[in-house]
Amino acid sequence: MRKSLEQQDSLNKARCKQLKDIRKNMADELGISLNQTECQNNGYCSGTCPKCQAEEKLLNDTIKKQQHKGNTWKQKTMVAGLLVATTLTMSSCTLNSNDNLELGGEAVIDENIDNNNQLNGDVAWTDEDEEQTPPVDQECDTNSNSSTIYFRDYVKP
Amino acid sequence: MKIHWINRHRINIDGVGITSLVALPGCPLSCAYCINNELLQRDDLIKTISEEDLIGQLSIDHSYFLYTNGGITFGGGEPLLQWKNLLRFASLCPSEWNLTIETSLNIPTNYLEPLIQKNFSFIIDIKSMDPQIYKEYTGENNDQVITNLKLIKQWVPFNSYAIKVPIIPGYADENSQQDSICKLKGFGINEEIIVPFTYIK
Repeated sequence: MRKSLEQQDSLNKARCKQLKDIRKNMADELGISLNQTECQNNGYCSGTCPKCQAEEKLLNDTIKKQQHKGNTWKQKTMVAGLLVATTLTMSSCTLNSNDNLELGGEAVIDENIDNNNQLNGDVAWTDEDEEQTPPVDQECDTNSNSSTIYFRDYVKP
Repeated sequence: MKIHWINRHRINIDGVGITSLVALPGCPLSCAYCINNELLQRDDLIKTISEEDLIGQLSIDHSYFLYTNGGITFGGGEPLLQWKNLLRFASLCPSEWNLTIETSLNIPTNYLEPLIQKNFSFIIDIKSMDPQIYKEYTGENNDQVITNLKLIKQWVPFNSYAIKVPIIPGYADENSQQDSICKLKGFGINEEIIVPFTYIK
């Protein structure tokens, strides 16, 4: 089921909000402030951006200093096991609704691309002079509450 | 290691928590409904990267992995074709990362054994336990799958693997799916880790 850009944008924004909340919770437990503000992006959202990435970096750096906290998190979540069967809905072969593709695949809107190939925003591993194209519409319905997987009807050559 | 792409911020898709999917090229099967069929055929999209560099790139999500019990899922394609690279990756990456492999298990057993010892988790797409249906859909027989499945059952903790059993339109209907599930239970596989689902065109 192909998604329009608007649908993809909406999904990406929702995912970004979800991740932002998780980062806030992590920061609270680590005792640091992320100085989070409302996102000002009115254009297409790829699901991540330099501001999000900066928060992730800060959290990573803080966890390195507070190794014991990371260990506590790990112990708390270990009992979860590999999966809750009803949530295992998608083959890993399918792309996330977040079109955060890196290292090849289809090009994405990458206004945040860093020519040094640093992971910055939604980076696609493309040649510097390669023309950037809008993200590919996803073929799959990523409704994580459903146990149904949708596949495009491929015709073998 | 040869990879196609990395897909970040997958939430409760490849198991628990936030995961990053690393898609690896190559597959021994020719499934009729392979969703990545076109990408698997595009050599221009294959990138070679060292395990160290890959870990460096994936580390941006280290905090998520710790906080949500997430980690890295290797898919594709058939990731076990690069079992040596996966082994090396596992020996170098942070021990807190959960490592999961999505596989058809249709690979030589010696590709699988070292990874079982390295505490990988497995998400297995069994296609069908009916040999004829399996052959029709994938172009290969499933003898190796059965052998590897028994190995997994014997050595991998039951909460570290899951088996997906699809209804495949035109190939495996609901009755066939139930037959496959019964066969899996006959192997002593816990029903809790069997995940029925449906391919829909």
